[in-house]
Amino acid sequence: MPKVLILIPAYNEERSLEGVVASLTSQWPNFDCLILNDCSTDSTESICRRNGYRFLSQPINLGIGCNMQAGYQYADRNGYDIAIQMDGDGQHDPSFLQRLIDPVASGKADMVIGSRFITKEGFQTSLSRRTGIRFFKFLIHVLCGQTISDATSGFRACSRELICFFSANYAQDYPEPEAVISSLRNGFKIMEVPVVMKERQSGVSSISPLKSVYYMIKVTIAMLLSVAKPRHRHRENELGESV
Amino acid sequence: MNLQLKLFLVAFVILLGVIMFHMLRKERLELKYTLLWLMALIVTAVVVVAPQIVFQIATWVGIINPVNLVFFVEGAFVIAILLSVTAIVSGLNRKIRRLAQELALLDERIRKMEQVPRATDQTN
Repeated sequence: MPKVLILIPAYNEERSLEGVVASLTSQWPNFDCLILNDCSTDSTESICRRNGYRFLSQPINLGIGCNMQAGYQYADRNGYDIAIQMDGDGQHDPSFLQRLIDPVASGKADMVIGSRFITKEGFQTSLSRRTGIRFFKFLIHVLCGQTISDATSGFRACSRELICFFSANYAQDYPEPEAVISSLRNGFKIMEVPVVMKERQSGVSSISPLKSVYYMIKVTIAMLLSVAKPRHRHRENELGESV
Repeated sequence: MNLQLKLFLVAFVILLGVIMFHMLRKERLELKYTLLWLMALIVTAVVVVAPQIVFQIATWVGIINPVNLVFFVEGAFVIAILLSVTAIVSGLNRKIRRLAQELALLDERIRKMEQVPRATDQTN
């Protein structure tokens, strides 16, 4: 039985967090769950304390990438075999976790992404977002030769090796598509499985329409750049600790 | 703008572009803070290569020699970049203060926790 950690990034998720964690722990009592509170301004932290959740509370707002990386560092130091990213807003259904875990546990893949575009069921997001995701799919195909239908999906499982890699190297601003490219570039195997996503239960997306143009330009340049970057050595640890 | 000056400016823009690309590749620059530089580079390149595109704007603001427009555009970008750097430094300063405070609070908590077992030792 692999040791599994569920990472839930949370920024102002007071309305949905308890529901997400409750459905998670009722379905998967053996998995540990770590809430990554990125200096929320609402009651997210006091909800974590009151319910006795395992959580990291950032003293300053780090942004989604850096917050996530702290989760991978926790997974690395505490010897987890598999880390799973899952949103705190209720978009991701924990009943699909088995699909994400199986290929990682059997060594078939280092990263398994839950994609809503394989069976095209459930919430399919807005047209403009789908266009952006399709553009990333094209870009990844050109740069890495693999088809990833939903590179922006934050519902993904990672192997021990990838946990070590991410705890040393993880994109900071809009990390999901960049993490896919840098993983592929560094020789990790990525696989997608079909999942059904729901519309977010509460809160607002980290990407407002105003920022979407900036987002597309920045992520595109970052993705092109990650191809030009030198490859990292595996199992590199920034803090110089033995892994 | 004569050809000699145009070639010199093009060479300058290319050199700057290559240096920036190299620094980005080596992760000595963070992309987030470099986007404004990239934009400055692209706009400057356009103004240098095809000043006729922006010449109309130049006459509107009273610039007679198009090369001055190139310098004005560069100057405007330098001001914008400096302003953004000041904003970034201010943000970083705020974050460092917050981190230092957090560290002091944690230090106090750890010292308090370390004292508890010692206090019980003394009573025994």
